[in-house]
Amino acid sequence: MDRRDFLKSSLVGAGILPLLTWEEAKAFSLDAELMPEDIELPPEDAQVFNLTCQYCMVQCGYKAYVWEPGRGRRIKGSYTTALSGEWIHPHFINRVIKDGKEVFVAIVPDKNCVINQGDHSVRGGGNATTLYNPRSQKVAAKRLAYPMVRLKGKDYPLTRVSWDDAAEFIAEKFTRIKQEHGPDALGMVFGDWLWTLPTYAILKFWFKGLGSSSYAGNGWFFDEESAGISSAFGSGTRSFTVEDFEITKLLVTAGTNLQANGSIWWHRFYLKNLSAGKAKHIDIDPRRTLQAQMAEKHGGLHLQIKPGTDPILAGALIRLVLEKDAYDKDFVRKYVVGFEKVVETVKDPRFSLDNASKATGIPKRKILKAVELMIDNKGQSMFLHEKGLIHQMAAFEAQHAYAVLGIILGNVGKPGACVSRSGGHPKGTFAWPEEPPSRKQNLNIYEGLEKGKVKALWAYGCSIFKQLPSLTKYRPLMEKTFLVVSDRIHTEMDSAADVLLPAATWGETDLILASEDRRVRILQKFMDPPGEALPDWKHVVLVAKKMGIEGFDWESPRDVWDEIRTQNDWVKEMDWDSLLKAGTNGLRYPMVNGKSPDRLYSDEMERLMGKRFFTKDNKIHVEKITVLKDFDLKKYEWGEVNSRYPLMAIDFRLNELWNTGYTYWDTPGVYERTPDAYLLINPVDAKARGISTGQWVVLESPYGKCKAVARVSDEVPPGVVGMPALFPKPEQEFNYATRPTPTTDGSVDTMVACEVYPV
Amino acid sequence: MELNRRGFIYLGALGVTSTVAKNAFAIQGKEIKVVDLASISPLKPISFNYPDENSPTILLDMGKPVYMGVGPKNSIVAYSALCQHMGCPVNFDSKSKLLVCPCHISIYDPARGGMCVEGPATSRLPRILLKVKRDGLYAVGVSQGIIYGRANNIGR
Repeated sequence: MDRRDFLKSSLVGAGILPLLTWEEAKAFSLDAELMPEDIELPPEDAQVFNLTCQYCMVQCGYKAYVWEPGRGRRIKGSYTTALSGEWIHPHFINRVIKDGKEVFVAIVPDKNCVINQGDHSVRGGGNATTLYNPRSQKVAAKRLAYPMVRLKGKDYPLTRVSWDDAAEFIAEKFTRIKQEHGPDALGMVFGDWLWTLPTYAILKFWFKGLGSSSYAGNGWFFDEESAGISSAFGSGTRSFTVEDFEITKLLVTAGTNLQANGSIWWHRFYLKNLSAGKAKHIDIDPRRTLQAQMAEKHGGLHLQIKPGTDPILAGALIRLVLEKDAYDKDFVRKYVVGFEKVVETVKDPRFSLDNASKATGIPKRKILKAVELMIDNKGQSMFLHEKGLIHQMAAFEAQHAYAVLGIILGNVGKPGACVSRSGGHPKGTFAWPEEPPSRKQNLNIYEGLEKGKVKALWAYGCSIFKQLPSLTKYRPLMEKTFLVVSDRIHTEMDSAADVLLPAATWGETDLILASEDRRVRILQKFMDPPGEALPDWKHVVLVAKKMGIEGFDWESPRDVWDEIRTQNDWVKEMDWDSLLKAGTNGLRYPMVNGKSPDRLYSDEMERLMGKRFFTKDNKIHVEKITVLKDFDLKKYEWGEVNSRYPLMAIDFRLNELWNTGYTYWDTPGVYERTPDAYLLINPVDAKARGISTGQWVVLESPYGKCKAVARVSDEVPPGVVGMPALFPKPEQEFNYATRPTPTTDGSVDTMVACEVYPV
Repeated sequence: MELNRRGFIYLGALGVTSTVAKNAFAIQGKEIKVVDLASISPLKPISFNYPDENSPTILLDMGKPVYMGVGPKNSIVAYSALCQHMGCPVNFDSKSKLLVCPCHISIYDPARGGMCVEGPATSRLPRILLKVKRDGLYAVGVSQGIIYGRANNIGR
């Protein structure tokens, strides 16, 4: 059967995973077959650089090997065995420009890095394919290489200018806007995982330099999505260590799909622990994901929860633990303040087993089995959660309630036990300059846009036409502002940008990032950036200097880091040279006298730091659980479900797609899996609407519309549809249909009432 | 295989001038007889080594015409059995008709060119080129990637 016949017949039935839709089949591409047949391997004397992955919070270690073409090793036959972490996949190798000359580079998962031990995810395995290489038309054409400015206004084309002219242009506009409308007329949205140094530069410039308090992060308006955790521990910092995945007895994941979005953690849990029969997994997710299937296959549970009902489930689980008198009494007595509020709160009838089962859609026997597993493994369980909780309106309630559940079972600061966010992106902020006083009344940048108060926006390492919610209404408002874009690639923002500033990125400049298990690493420069691209922090320096603002005299990444670490006791001992020496394992924070605890909130932390928690009284606080008493589904997204919008839409993150997909189309064997966004819809809902797999459908909410290819599947329950977040095709962006209101912890909300119909 | 425009341009860029046959990007290796056609039955995997004893492969009759399938029904395909992620041998799951790696659950579809549909692998399983002869089925080469653990499939 040739390609054409194959495509004609590719609409086949469902296995354990949905198979190709027609649209997907069309993208089944020759690219994926065009693999090299013969590669040269790094020679013994290749130059070696330390790196961590450019993507997620797990932050696997990588090495870059650089050598002259033709000088590599040639090997015949098999040179390594399974799981060795030594194989160089063809995707690990690329040609790049270094010091003006073409070289080979191999980006190889580091087998000596304690996090990944030579393993990689589907995202990290493609790191080398994303590198700028003038030979590769596809990657080269999308990169920004020179500053561009729309000198005469929005109706005129972008033209190439010098860095000096671009900085002058921005400085002049910013100065005028500030004079006429005040500093808060200058708005900024930043990708807060953005390599630490640039993040600090822009925050200092914004708060101290310009005096503006108008800003948002990528995916949050205020408070950085951790309030439900930080209210308990005094910090939202992730508290576990990577080894915990191999020794925990029970993993409880709520709204976090580690198999797809923290792959190396899940690999370690699955291979060494779950599949070896040593641990169980309870996965709480409205979707029946591969992770959920594996949890069940190995004796655990999938609690297929009705979206947004997590506070009820967590409240009911707490109540059952208390009814069985099975909480960790010693732990609670020693460390917890406000336990009586917990007891009082969950007495409410809404947290009865009957009501919880009805509200969440989870059978009673599964809730009871979950409680049994949690009690059997108390003090040895990891409770992790992420965007599935954080990006629903009752984010604080859900996050805090699961935290309290984990806490009263004593799962804090012990080997294989934690209560924590799992995280999405690496940690990129170690110093937070003082914000202007106006911030107190200026938490939501959308209000400023709507009232016409925000006149300029700097999109700084953040695709604001994808990552912010409710784009149908707010994109036109953002387009009208004086728009400055710092980015590595051309994006949809080009159409409205007044200035495009090209960013030197991963591999093209020295960077710093930290993993969510608190390892700080330097990511070394190993190649030239395209054209005149500069690291983002230098964009800030150039503009600040043109505006005559002092305090931006950094000349090297080391200078920026030295200023950051003076402001954070956790990292103050980590000078540049010791970080360089620490290589891909890095140094861990918080660091005191050269030592760092493996786990936060542990005996070890208390010994090293003289305190166990980051709260003022050194206790865990659970009093805020009382917010559950006011929890009412109808107050939030479900209040908008009606006959016109009868379904509830949720989003999720694809394994193969990182963030906004700015590197998605670089690796053919990866994007051929999902060439278009798909919409998961239950067979019952699909039949009622005449929708079949492979058909283009529109998802319409009270806030806007987007498109996707239908995938009819019982992966989602009736009444619920699911769609990937941030799919890198304009019309397939779910954020055109999402709600504009910040959640109760200040994040964006990606749950929305909707209707779905064929195109 | 019909080459589309993109494929044609790519070939041009690589400077490949030879005739583009069905297996454009394949290395032709030695011919090894795998099995008699009569002893192949649908969805019953057959293991053999190719191109050498260090390279386990898996032969499958998918029971219906599939991409690049050979045999009377164009239904027979063969792939390297070593996962492209970290080299664990994949297993055929007859219920889902997919190849599943037990180590980190990379999942490949033999009916769709061996593409990876889930998990950490970034590429398809290399395809073993098959030829039907009068006396049985022969493995004749490898295409679409490099077998796990190697820098080339056949050796220089």
